[in-house]
Amino acid sequence: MSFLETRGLVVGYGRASPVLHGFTLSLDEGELVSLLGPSGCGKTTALRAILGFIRPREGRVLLKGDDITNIPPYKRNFGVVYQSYALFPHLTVAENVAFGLRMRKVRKQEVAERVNRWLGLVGLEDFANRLPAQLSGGQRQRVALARALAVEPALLLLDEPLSNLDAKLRATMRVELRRIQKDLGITAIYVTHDLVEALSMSDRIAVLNEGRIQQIDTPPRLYRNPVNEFVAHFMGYDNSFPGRVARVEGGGVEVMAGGLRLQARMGGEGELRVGDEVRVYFRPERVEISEGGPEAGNVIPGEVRFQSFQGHSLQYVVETPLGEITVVCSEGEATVNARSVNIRIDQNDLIAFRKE
Amino acid sequence: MVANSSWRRVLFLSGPGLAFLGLFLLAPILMLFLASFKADGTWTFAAYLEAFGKSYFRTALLRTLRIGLIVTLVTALLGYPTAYLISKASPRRKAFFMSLSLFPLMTTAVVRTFGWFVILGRHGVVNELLMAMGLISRPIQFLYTEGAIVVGLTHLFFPLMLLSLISALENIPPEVEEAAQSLGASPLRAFGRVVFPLSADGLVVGGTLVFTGCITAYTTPAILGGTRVLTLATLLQQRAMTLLDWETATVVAVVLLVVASILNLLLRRLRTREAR
Amino acid sequence: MRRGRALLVVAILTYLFLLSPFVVIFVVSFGQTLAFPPSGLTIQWYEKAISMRMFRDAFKVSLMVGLVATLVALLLGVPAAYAIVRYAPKGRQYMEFAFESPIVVPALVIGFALLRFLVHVGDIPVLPALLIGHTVIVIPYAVRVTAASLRNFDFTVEEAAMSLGAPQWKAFLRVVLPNIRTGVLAAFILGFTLSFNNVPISLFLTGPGITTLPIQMLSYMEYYYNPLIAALSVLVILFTVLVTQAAERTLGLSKFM
Repeated sequence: MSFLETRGLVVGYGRASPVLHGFTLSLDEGELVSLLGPSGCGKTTALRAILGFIRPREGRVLLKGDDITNIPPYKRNFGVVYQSYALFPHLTVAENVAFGLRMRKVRKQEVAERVNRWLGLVGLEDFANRLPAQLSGGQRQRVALARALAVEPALLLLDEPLSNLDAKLRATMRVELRRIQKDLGITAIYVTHDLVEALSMSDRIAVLNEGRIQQIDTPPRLYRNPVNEFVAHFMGYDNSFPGRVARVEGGGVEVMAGGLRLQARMGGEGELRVGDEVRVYFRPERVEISEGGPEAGNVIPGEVRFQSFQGHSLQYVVETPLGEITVVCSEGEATVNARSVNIRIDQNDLIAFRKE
Repeated sequence: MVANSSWRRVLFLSGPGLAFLGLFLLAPILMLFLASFKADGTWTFAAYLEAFGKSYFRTALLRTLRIGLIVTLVTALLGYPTAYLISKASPRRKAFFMSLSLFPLMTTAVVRTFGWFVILGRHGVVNELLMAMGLISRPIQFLYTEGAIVVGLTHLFFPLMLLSLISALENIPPEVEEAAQSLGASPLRAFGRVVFPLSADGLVVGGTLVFTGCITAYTTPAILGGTRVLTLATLLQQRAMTLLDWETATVVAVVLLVVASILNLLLRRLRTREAR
Repeated sequence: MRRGRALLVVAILTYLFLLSPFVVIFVVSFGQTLAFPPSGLTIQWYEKAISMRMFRDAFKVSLMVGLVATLVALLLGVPAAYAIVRYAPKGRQYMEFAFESPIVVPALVIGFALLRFLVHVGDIPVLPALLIGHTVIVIPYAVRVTAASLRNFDFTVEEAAMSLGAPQWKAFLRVVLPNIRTGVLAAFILGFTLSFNNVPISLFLTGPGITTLPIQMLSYMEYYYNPLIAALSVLVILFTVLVTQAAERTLGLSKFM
């Protein structure tokens, strides 16, 4: 039995068409699952439905097998950290953290002890009597986390908790958040639109688009095997070109595109057949660029249109028979200076999807 | 930094307006203030002592303050639920209810109070209704009572309270209330512990506006209170225009001025605190 | 959910309370007498209200005073708002306070003070005193609304105009003013409505032959008990709605111009 389960949640506002269509997800105890997608994909709506702030039109939410769909939010014992932190501006840091405990009628003595412990855990013992307005963004974030965790919630929900922080702090907090979550063994749902965040923190990721889950999997598998064009695009497969299947061979296909014959592998669930219109995706950093003559494999001739230095890497924009291709090489690799180049892509790095 | 030449521009641009207000507001008010302490060429409190010695003056003063307090309380009680609902409504509904609340503010107090004059009259809506239901046999005297003035002023100033409350409630992000609920507070407790304390400033702002408006309002007490139930404002008019007793009128005017100014200073302090 | 419904009931009752006088006035204006519900329907009160000389004259005075006072207030207030926002001079909070002061002083007190020291001591005729009084109470709104729209104006645009050869007064007229015209128009509508509706100033500054519509209605109500004031009220409401609607229309249209 899974720890938390949603079954076919349909959520909509008013008479408009639903923003969430049949949202089904299950989490094991202690697992951190990210809901990843562009803004407006329904990920925050899903979170609010799990919290109980929106009643789904259809579907159920189950906690350890118990149906909690009709239980009001304040009886669910779920902790939440918002993007805006939603701290109580009229209460001090300590009072913010104590709020949930007071609601649970915990003894005064114990409230003080637990508040201290949690403030210590997030490194804010010295700020107990400050008001939220007197804290930096990162400190507020920690207060919000301590406040949510202090009630020892059954489930922790995080709605883009890091997106109001600067890049450096974000990287630190990613590690810290994940560490705390693992140490406590708490089950968590993490809503984000940031791919790197989702990849680095999650046990599993659910990619959402237009109110539907596109794919749920572990970060490496999701990264390597996107099931459709949307997920591929979202996972950083920034280059793509159209083509037609010329030959099928095991899990691989030969694609005709721009007058070239290229070896690719099949993406998605449906089998490809000869003659299918496809779109082929690949990542900019999985491309080799060289001045040398043709080698074996998928070789595409092209001309460098533009190149830019990006610190740890070099980026080229190459005009090819397949259109413009972006190539990213690490700084150490051999650089090319000629205009005419050949680029080579491994068969395993080209993924062909049937055109939708 | 403002250079010397821009000082001249500032003076040139705002000078006429400031001069106009100095001549036609500051000077007459100052003269009024000074005149209230002067009798037969000497400085004295005589006018005040005399006015406060008269029972009609004390009655009017107490009545004005009482009415102001009651109306402030009633508008707050009516305004809170309404403001809360509006602050939570969808943008389209919000716009509709806001314009519905603002509409009365665009019409003159004469028209708005006349409506209550008809409703509360001897043969008005309320009396006819009560008689038809058999609850009373003879019409009740509603007009020319303090109650009538309270009703009229509540109607007159309700929008001010509502708008202050809505703007205070709208400044509270919805997640804050949700966060309280997720931490185990029932909707009622979340309201009491979080939403209400955060909107208290709006309540004080609205209350000050309503109270100040009430004690200086003329039209409504004039129509619904008549000459029988005088407030400071109607007393001022009666003394000045009907009885030509300018001494008392001036004292009443200064009292109104002082009370309104004190309340306004409090309001200003509150608003700068909010801005921070 | 039950709590939500209770809130809704309070809100509905509140709006009933807010709108009931208007409904009653509208219904009663078509009645034979001031009884509600009316015994018979008639439009005689509308005919009377329109044909009575004293109301027509009072309306004309109100209209004239409203227009002139608001125009003067804008002429004094717009440059002041520009000075406050553009130059942000030291002590501008005192300037702002000075221009807000007519709101602090109760209008009734302003009216009485003007009567006592302008009309009686200063020997100024009633009509100019009335215009002065109304200008005084409109000035704060002229400054406040114009300043608000000036705060949204990017003054580098004005500098650009000046760098292209426009003297400052021309840059103001050609570049700044067109960009804040919605604000100025809004100030005008607000100021006119305030003046048109005003009672406490006019109460003291009207005399034989010169009286505003609200004051004329008040004094008529002292002597007569009939639906004529109701009919007149409906006409006044229609007029205010017309003015504000026209403003909204032009304000809305101006966005596309």
